[in-house]
Amino acid sequence: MNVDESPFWADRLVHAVGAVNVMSQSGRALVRPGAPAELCDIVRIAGEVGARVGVGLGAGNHEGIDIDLSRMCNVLELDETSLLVSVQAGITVDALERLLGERGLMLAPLPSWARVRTLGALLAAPRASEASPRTGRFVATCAGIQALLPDGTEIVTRLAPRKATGPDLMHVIVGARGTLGLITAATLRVQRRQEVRQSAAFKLPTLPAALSAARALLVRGGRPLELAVDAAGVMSLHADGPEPLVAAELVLAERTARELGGEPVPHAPPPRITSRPHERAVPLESVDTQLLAPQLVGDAVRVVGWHIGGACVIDTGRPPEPPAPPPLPPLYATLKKRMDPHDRFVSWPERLPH
Amino acid sequence: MPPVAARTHELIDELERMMPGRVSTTPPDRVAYARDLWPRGLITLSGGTPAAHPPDAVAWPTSTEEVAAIVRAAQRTSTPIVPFGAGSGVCGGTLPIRGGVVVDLKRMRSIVELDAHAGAATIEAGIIGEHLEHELNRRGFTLGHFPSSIMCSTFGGWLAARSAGQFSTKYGKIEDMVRRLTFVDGRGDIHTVDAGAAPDVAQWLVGSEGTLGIITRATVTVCPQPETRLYRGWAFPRVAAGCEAIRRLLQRNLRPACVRLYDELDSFLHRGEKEHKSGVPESSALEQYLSLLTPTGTSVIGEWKKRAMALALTRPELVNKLASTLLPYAQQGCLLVVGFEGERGLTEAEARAATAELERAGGRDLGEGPGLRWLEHRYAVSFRMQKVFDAGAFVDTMEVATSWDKLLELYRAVREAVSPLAFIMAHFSHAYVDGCSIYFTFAARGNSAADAEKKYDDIWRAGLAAVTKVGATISHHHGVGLSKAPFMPEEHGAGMEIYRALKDTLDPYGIMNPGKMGL
Repeated sequence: MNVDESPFWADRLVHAVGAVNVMSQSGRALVRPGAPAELCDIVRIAGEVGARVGVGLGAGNHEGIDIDLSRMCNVLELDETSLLVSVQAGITVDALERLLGERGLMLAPLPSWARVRTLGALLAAPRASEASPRTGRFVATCAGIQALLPDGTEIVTRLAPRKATGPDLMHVIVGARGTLGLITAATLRVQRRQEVRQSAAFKLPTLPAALSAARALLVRGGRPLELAVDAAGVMSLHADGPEPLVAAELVLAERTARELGGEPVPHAPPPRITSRPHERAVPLESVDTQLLAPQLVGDAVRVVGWHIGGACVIDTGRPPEPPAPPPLPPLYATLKKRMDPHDRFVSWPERLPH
Repeated sequence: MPPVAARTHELIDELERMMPGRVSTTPPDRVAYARDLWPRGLITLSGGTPAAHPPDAVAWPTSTEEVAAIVRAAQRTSTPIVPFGAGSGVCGGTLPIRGGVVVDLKRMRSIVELDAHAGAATIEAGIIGEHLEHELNRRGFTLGHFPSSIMCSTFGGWLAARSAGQFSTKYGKIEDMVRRLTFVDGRGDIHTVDAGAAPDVAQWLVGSEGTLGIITRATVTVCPQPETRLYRGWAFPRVAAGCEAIRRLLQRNLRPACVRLYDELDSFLHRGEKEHKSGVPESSALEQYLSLLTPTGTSVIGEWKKRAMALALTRPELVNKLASTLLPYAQQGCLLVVGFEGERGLTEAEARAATAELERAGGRDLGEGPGLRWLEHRYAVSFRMQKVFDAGAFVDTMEVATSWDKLLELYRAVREAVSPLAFIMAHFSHAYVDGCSIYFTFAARGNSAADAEKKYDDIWRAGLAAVTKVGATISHHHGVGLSKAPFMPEEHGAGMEIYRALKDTLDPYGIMNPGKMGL
């Protein structure tokens, strides 16, 4: 698509968000809106001049408007009664955790390498490792979103713990990599830090046995805050909550591990991973069999992101996936044509943090 | 009975060739499939007016491929398709509005696979809930999904309407259980999608009430049958104290299978329950409520009761006022039923922690009795509703939900809006870390079917306007159907555009369950 390169085009962006928040170069502009209204203006201008829009597109050959949401990083509301926090999409996990921590609150568990991600990234391009037995996939902790559609319409999903008023339309935007709508803010379910938190680890005879133990623990109703299995066949977990429940959860984990030949071992925190590792989602049904493939079992393999639907295999010894986004379902393409006939909103690339 | 539309004859001929013996155009079938349990429809029927748009035909497919073939055939003649489970919906979600073909999925009723290691079952959409649970139990598992309609609703119906069971606080609503979904879209194409994919197409279909496609099977999470069940009753002085106690439980990571807090009137009726000498309770609160609405017998007292209730239902504002004024003085308080179930160690630990928390919240332990009583009678009420309609009154339920900070405001707003129009009571159930649902039950009567219909519409308009004003959702688990379709724009605002886009994408010919959900 050809982009109108006239100075007027860049000038209009400058009028919308201020000169310090626009960097333009033939056919391209990096824009940093500070509020949803500014983002609306940008999308409107893009529509009028025929430019494509994307968030965090980076310095590739892409022509169009690259939106940087880092200025939209405010907490809009904290409802400590309902444990809900509404925040703008540009806030990073680290920044939000710091703010919540001051109030004795925390987000659902996320892997260490996700802490540099923004909320918008977490929701637009979720990863398999971003899940916990207690809270499920991270996107499931999202109670509602505010988003801008390609035609400039602003939507706010109704906030309720659950609804039966049609499909959950949040799931049209979430996971669509910014191509069906730009998430400007979201309301997340948060947790109170519990007074009792304990860790435990169990060494199983083999990796498949450890995977089977972790799976059996979930199927039996164990819901630890975090659960992981490493290549040496060690299953480790963190449980939190009222003391009797934490104790019972650890007893259940030990019984499950022992049934498969496991023994308790001292819990050792895993090495902190800051770079995004290679990761692959595995359904719970095949979590032990898929991993029997020899090429997948190396010292650097670790299975994290456990939840009742599946888990995620990470391998720090392999390069992460290439930045090309995975294929989207065929129905998505039809919906994309309907919601964005001029293909204005471009895909969010999986940029690597380093 | 309206004649079968001419354009549909060709389709019916094709269907009969395709699936001989499994297509019907007989008047009894057309009448039977022209209704569900939407109370407004029952009022109309009780007034002697038959359904205006019965289906032209009913088809019973036995496979996903047959469903796809039916949809493709219907597309060629622009014939509406209405998916049908067991007809227990209370929102008119399966009522044809332009005739067409009702596709009854009950012959697709098998448990295709049960993976005990992964706690997953692949199930066809047409199986009746009770049969499904019974079969899973036989194999040592439970779905954990127990709607009060379980004996007359199907797995597919639950998915289509985002159903919730009575133990949803532990096991989740049906949309939380889905791992994989197979459906036929409005083009007749078959799709199998994994939950959790990005974007999550499975969640586009769950709750779409047949307007985007027909769900034919799904893989869902199942759990081992509970090793133990621990149920108790607790008394709280007021609704607010009870709600606060539930919130504390949930926010301390406790997951009771069931939490149900009855407001003062509902609790009063529970306390009035009679028991047999054996100690088995005779009836549950709502059953008593319904029996109050429909007194039987020809004795002088019976007649007096009938007249008194008739008067009460024509002056609901008076009855509601009396109840809200006098019940606090009765010092009965509010009944909270809390139940835990699952693996023995976890369940006992959760129950211990819950006891400590509920005592801290000011609750008074009533022992196992109220909990077990509820457990015993939890399905009974759904099958007593018809008597109310036969007696010239009507009863319905309004299940709404919001976050904890707005819950009491929602409770008061709906009561205030509906009280002048109907006799109303409520209980709080389906609790989450961030909020809870309120289940209002209301009853009224009209001087005629037309008058009752008007009153019924007025009650819903007033009630849902109050819900929307508070910012809550108009439905937690009954769905939208025809009854709440006019309120969808208010519920979703500009988001309706996304629904319309989904409709154009998945049902470009506009044949899938027309008129439902405001689409």
